[in-house]
Amino acid sequence: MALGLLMAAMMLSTAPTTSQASAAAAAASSASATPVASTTVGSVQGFADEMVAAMQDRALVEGIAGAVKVVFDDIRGLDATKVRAALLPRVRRAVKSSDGPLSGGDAGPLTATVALSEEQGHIWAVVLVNGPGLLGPSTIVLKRHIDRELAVALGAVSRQSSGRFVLERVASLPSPISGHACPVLDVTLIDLDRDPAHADEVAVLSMCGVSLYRSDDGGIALVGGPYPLPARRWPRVELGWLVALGTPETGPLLWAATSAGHSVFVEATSGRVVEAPGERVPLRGVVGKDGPHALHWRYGAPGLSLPLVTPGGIDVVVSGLPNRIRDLARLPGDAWVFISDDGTLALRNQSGATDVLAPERVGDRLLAVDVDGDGESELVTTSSSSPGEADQLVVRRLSPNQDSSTVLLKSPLGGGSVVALAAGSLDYDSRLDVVIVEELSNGETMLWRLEHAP
Amino acid sequence: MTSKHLVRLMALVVVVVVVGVGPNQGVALARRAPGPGGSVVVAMPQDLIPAVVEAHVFAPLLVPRTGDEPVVRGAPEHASSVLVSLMAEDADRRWRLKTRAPAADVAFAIARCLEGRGERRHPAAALRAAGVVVTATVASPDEVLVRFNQPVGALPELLAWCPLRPALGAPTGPYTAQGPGRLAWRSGSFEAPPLLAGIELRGPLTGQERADVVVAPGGADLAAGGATLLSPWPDVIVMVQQPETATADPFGLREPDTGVAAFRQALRADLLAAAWAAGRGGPTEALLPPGVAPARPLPPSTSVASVPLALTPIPRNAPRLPMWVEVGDSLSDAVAERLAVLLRGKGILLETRRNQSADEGGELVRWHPPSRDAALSLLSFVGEREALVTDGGVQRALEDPRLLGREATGRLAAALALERALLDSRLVVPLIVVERAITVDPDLRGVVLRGDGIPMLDGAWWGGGR
Repeated sequence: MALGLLMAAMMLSTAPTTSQASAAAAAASSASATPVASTTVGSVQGFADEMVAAMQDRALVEGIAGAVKVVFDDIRGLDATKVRAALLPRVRRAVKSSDGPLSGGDAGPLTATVALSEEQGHIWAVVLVNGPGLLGPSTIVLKRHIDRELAVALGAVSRQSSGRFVLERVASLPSPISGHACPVLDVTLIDLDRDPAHADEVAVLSMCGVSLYRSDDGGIALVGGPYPLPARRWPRVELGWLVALGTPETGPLLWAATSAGHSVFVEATSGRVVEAPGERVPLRGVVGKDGPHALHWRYGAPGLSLPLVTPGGIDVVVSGLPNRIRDLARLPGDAWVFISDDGTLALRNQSGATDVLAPERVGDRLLAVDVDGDGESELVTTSSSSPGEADQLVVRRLSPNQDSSTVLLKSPLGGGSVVALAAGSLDYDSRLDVVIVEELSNGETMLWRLEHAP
Repeated sequence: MTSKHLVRLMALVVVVVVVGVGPNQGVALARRAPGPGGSVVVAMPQDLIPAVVEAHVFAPLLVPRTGDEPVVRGAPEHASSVLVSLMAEDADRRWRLKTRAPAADVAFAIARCLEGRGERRHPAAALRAAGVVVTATVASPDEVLVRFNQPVGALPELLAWCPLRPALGAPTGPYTAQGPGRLAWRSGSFEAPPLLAGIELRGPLTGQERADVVVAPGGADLAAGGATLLSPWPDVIVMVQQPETATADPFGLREPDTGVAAFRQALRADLLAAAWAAGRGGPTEALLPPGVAPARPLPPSTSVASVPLALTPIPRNAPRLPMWVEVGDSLSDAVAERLAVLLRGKGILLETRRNQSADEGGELVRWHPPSRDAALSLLSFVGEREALVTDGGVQRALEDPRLLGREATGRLAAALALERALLDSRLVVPLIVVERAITVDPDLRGVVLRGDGIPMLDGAWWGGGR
């Protein structure tokens, strides 16, 4: 962050002013016979100059003249504070110093209303000029590829992809015990054969134990388990957490925890079940070099308690997080996304401040994964529907300064309730898949796959 | 080595060879390479079937470039298996097109696409709206000359997805028609041969009928299972008023204090989208949807207090407003019902019309912009509705030469001015933006929903062992 600010400050301070640029251009034109060194104009300044030049050109076509007040109206996909600090003064200065029928002036009488947005790796500026002499608003559009300077100075994120997704119903998930209902508690993807070219297997934690499935040839088949958990009394709220571990020594390993008090390691190939550190719930969204961090658990309660515990058993204090949360994920740069006990989706940023990311409550589970491959994590949640009510899958994109989010996809599934989310590679392509397990009202369990469609 | 081992080894060799020539990079990584053969059944509205047949039977002149396809000279944003180059002359009034196909066939196809000739073609409608006259003639066996009466720099965008349809109708694409709604693969296409042997196209499903691909205007039925493909940009439900209706203003859009804001609040587009479009949509104040136009300043909407509707009995001879509504779209039907309720509160009856023309009253359109190019989309929208040109502001916006210019940003700027003129005229009232989606059998891979909303199966194959 500090480095980014420093870079931005350096770029902004070294960018030449418009008068310098125009002076250089005038010098170049007056001495066209002699070679001159090219003048480098920063991207932000260049964008401001382009915008003003286009406004002056348009003013000539429309036959208007006078002072123009520049207003930034709508800013989407960019950091509004940075845009107003870095671009707006440059545009206003460029209007004052440029040659043409338009001149600078906060009193008008002309007004240029600018909307800026980020679309697929470009910044778009739509300028509407209004005022005397015009029958209707005059429109100017500019676009510019987002380079490093624009990304830093305006908080733009270069995204080559659009937010389009394919939501596919993969198959009905067969019960691991034929004729016996085994409600699903959690799901994760695990690479059993250790071959990255092959798809991952689906590990399912249900009330019958841990089972392994493989998606192949248009269906899904049970390939391992169920490996039953030790007998325990289940509370009214039946919950489970399943995380894939595994080291070269141990082979594919799963850590399963439930609201009944289970905390066990399950060897995925042999099915051997051994006790894990008790009263801890592993977090898929907070994984260090040594494995997943964990939170504390209380019998029968859906909420989890801080502090965080490292795989080595050391407590980690993260200031700014509430004491009880439903789920937690860590983003690059020491930002933490969490679902509070009352279902609020929020982010604790690097400085320890907390911002609410969504106006509505969300479901209990959270995934922070880069679904569309743009280098930034999207947030996948469900709606805050009760068990038995129709649920929705929601994919959100964080704003550049991580203080809000926009919904990229909000879609119902088959009218049932989403019970588990996981990310991995379910098919054989290189794109990340999100796996969703839905329980329908007729007791059927459905496996869905969400993939970005570039 | 036993015969069983030999068969396994041969299968492995075949798989390795096929993987090496897979149709795209994503498939090449797959454990199971796509195999040719099989057929699919596609259910869709009857009026969409001719367009889908045409898209599969005739090769497109140009397509928007999406990957590493070779660049067409003179049209760097497009790819083509038919055209080699497009070179402009005389300030974009004349274009020379070098072609791999017979020039006579290309000239005929271009004339058909840009003139319309009795068919609904969006490029023809766009040119009509801008007052452009076009002629396409054969200059040499491999060159076509296209002339316009005014500069048209956007010819590549106009020709995107125009089918190479020769005068005699001989197929040029990967499939040939074998009877009504039946397509069979063929060799000799300008494009790569398809994988599916046959495609059966039929009307909307009834009763227990099943199909592998379902295209329904009201959205895909997710509960029935299958993959959902979303179109690259959404539809917009638009109310288009005839000029005399806009002047009479039955919906109170011109009322100074409340106007459009009160109308939108009473419409409850958010609830309509939630109930009739599976939550895949919401209210909109813009005619050009996301994906076609970026964020732009829109007229500010004032907040108004909620006023209960006065649903008092109205006489049978109350004034009536005719409204044409698209057949088979449940969301449009729901919007029409809501409009009827709003009108009833003002003592007016809404008369829904289905198959008659929309010459009076208004129409409720589920509009899918036919191109990602905002200018061409809006021009075609206006070109198909001559009454819109009667508005002075719209006329002025249509005179902007940038609308058909070469620069994409200039076209967009002119398109946004045209959009604003249409909105200011109150002849066009956008109501709801809603995703366009189709349902595809999970085993059927490689189905693509083209930008203009046409489902393409020429690159599709059956996975999952079928």
